[in-house]
Amino acid sequence: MAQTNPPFMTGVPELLVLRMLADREMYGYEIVKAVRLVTAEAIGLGEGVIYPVLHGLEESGALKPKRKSVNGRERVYYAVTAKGRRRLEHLSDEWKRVSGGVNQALGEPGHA
Amino acid sequence: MPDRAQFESLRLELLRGGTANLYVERTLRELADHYEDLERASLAAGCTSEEAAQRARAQLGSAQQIAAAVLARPELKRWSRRWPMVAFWARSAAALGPLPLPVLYVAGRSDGIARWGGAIGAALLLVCSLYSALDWMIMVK
Repeated sequence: MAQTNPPFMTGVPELLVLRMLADREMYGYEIVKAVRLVTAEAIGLGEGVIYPVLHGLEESGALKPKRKSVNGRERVYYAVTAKGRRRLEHLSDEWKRVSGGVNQALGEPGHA
Repeated sequence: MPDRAQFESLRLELLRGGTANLYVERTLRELADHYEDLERASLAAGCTSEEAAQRARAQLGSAQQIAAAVLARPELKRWSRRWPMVAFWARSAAALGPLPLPVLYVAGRSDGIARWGGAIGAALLLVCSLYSALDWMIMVK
């Protein structure tokens, strides 16, 4: 049976956030900058809307927030949990499957 | 975002939409920090303070955009909004549960003052319970 792809577009910010945080913990502003950098600005997350994404992931147990004082400013750093890593793996697989299918369709003569 | 009025309007919109207090406060605090970072970056890049504020506001997005993004996530809502029927029964039980207590108390006493006190207590409890039930129904519907 063919798999459906519900998180295709809606899961992209989650996927990117989890991928950025998989390497190290970061706070919201850092995450947005990192996404811009690694995607060569192809994907610009709305900066203010990163927080509902982070809080949603936190609520589902994929992220763990930690308050830290850095240079006199208190920041909320986010770290990926074991559950978050599993979710990242799942979202990455989904994305590869979907983008592979789209690439194939675009590359196939008569379909492009 | 963010001047004080816009922050306040975002706070009200989120609370009205049923977002949990914890996430309302967290969102506002983190947005304020983010705004400050954006402003500092623009100042460091040579912008005037007015330009820096304008750029930071544009990059952060409007209060409406942010509110829409928060309200689109049911997992950030208060528990009474996520499970309204559970909240209804819990509140009803809490409001109406103690109602028989003054009656039972009075039933065991014979003097008139205790009877009057109990009757007034029962009436107050009943009225308060009805008010809180109505209040809750208005808030949820």
